[in-house]
Amino acid sequence: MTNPLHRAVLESALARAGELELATPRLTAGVEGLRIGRRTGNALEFSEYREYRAGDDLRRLDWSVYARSGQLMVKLYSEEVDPRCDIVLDNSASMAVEDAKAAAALGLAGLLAQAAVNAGFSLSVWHAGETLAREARAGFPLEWSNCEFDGGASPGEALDRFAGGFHNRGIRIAVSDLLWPEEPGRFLRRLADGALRVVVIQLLTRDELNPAVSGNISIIDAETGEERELAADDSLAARYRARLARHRELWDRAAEEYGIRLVRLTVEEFYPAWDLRELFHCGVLK
Amino acid sequence: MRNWITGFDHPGFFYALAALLVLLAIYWFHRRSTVKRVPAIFLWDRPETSPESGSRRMFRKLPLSFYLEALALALLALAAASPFRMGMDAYPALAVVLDNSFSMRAESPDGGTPRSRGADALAKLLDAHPGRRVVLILAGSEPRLLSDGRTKPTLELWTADEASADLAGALALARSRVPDAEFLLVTDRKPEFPLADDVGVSASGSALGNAALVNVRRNGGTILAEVLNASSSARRVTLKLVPGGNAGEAEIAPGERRKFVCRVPDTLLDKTITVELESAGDPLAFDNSFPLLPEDRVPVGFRLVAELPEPLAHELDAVLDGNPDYRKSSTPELVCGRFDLPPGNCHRLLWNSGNPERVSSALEPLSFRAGSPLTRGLSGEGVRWNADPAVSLPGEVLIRRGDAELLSFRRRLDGYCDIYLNLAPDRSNVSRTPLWPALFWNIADFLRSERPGPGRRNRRSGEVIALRIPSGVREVTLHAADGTGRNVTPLRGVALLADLPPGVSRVTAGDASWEVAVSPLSAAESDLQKAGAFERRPVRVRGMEENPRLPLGWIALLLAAAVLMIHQYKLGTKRGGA
Repeated sequence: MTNPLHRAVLESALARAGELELATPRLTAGVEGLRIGRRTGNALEFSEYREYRAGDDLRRLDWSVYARSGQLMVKLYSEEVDPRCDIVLDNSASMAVEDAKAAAALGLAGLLAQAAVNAGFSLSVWHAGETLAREARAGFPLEWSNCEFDGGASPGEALDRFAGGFHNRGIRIAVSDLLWPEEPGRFLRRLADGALRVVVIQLLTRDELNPAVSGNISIIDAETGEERELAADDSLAARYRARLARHRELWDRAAEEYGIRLVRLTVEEFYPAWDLRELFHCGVLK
Repeated sequence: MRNWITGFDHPGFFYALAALLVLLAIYWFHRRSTVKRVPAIFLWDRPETSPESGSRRMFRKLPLSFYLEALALALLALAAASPFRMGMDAYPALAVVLDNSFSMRAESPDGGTPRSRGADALAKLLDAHPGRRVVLILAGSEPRLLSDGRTKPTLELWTADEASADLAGALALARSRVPDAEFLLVTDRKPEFPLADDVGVSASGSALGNAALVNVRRNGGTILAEVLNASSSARRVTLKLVPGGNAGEAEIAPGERRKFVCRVPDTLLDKTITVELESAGDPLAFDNSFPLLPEDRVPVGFRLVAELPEPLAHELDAVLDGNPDYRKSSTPELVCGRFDLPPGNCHRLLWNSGNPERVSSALEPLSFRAGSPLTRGLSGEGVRWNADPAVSLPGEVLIRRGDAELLSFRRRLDGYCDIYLNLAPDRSNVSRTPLWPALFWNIADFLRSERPGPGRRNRRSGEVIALRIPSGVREVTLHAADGTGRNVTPLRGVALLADLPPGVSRVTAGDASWEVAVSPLSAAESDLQKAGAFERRPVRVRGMEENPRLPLGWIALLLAAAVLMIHQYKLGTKRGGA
């Protein structure tokens, strides 16, 4: 990492991460959001006893309990859950329209990576540029090679071009502003495919939530460079807010459909103090 | 004259446009866009292209504020320009005929003149209708168009120095130029001819007593001056020659015209002399002083050929010998001889006696061709002009009796003139009647006018001067007395000079140069007793009733203010609160 600003941000985030751990998904959400974490099988870790039911593996009967109590009890072992984590960081240029937004995204990714390492997760970090590029030293955020937010494609497009490589049955966390016009279902479906749990963290600045504009403005899209001359007045700001609300509603519906936890952070509230209450509240960190 | 500086009919349009450009520049710098990078442009505006749609023209979407401000600017520009535009549209043209006679210079006791009062009244009229098309016609001895109304009219060329004012002709000219106009006559007295309903009159003269020179002539060492007392009481006048001193003093009765004959001292014969009239309390100084150039009637050199028969030679001797207008010369301008006299570098007077046996005594009266300088003032009373009626004279016949052609004129190809005479002198009494010397006076006058130069050097205002120029000269330069100058191209050796201002002008043709003095003399214009104030408003032409003047400039201004207020209310109340 050559950018001293990014290094400073990551150092600050890692210091905040400390001993925090990424929460292990005991209750995972499958395709239909069912509880599937506890079941008999090839688990190695004893979980609890349950009365025998027809069809249970007789090898799992605890004969000593039967001897003591006369009840047929089956020993249940927790399913073996390999703690694996994929963190997808949106490296598109739209994340850098403000320095604070880029710093917050980078710091959040680093903080989550450190928390995953602290929790013993097998970690992969993906930079979403033109496609998803795996970070070679995912567990060492200070040594990440690609921390520039200069991608010309949205994470949705990047994921479309992604050949695959996520951990199977792991936690996937995406950090993005989610501001691209394509419908969110396709992105979320691919992100959730084969994952135990998916968390999407949307980072938006206050100006993006409620822009303060007046007079004639020349709007330039950070990613495409498309330019539009507009006259900012009350009606324009109202239209913007309405479209943003509709856009967020679309993401909410899609996330609910795919059992994905959508967390929204406001850059100015999150960074630079690294306010993690929302992440604790939603069970991402512990 | 079109305003070539601005390129607009009225400078107001130019200024309005320039102001609009300045406002647009201010608007541009004030309202230019600020750049804002956003993560998602689709939240700001609908995408205008889709991958399937291909290319299409994209228009910049402009805000309501732009249209409001542009509307306000346009209304302000309209407010600035509309007084002119509306003035042009709402009123028909105004054709003003300006009396350019010198009586417009008469000073009333308050110091004003009809010209100054007329100019003031006209200025007020024009100020009341800015932008209205105003055509100015100058009524002098000839009506002239001063301004066609395309630009702001100027009165500088209204000099009021001519000896007459053809008001009726000027009105006719105005009516031909702008038939639907309102007409206004600016003069110093009530016109004596009937006026149409659409002609207004602004006469602001005053009935005043005036003494004036109404005729001055100079011939050799003599100056003839005629003084008119155009007042109701006797006046004492003093006539002066400058240089030369007092030339006479007299008490002139009311209405009397008194002639003064003044001798020019020998030392001043070749000098310009100004005749000045002094009279106490004279309201019009313009007609009291006129310059006169030396006016010499250089005699015409003539020669009688030897073969001329005795009777005619006798008749010619009688009229030419001792005549100050003629002198014998070995290099004559005029040669008198028979019909078969060969031409040379001179004019010829050719006699044809005809057949004496056919000469008849006719009783028919002589008839003279009018308009010829050779027949000017001739009278056939008591004249017995017998000649051979069978003789046919070449050229233009000027005098005839019945079928008999008696005198004709022809200009030769070399520019010289031939005068043909058919006369039987022994059977006529022509040489013993006034016709004979008058005819030779005319011939001398005419031949002098054929010499290079203007002929007479002292002219009356309004005369067209036919300036004969030496051969080979292609252009004549006139330096007029008022300081102006112009070039005149001669036609067939003659340059016509018209509208010379009063005073001494100089004409140059090649190496030769002449001075011409022009004197505006007019008893009618010097008589100010008939001058007076007279106002008449024209019956309004139909266009004025159909197109009432509307204050559209003010309406545009108020609309602009209203638009700006709407703009501020609509866009200013919550600006920045988004």
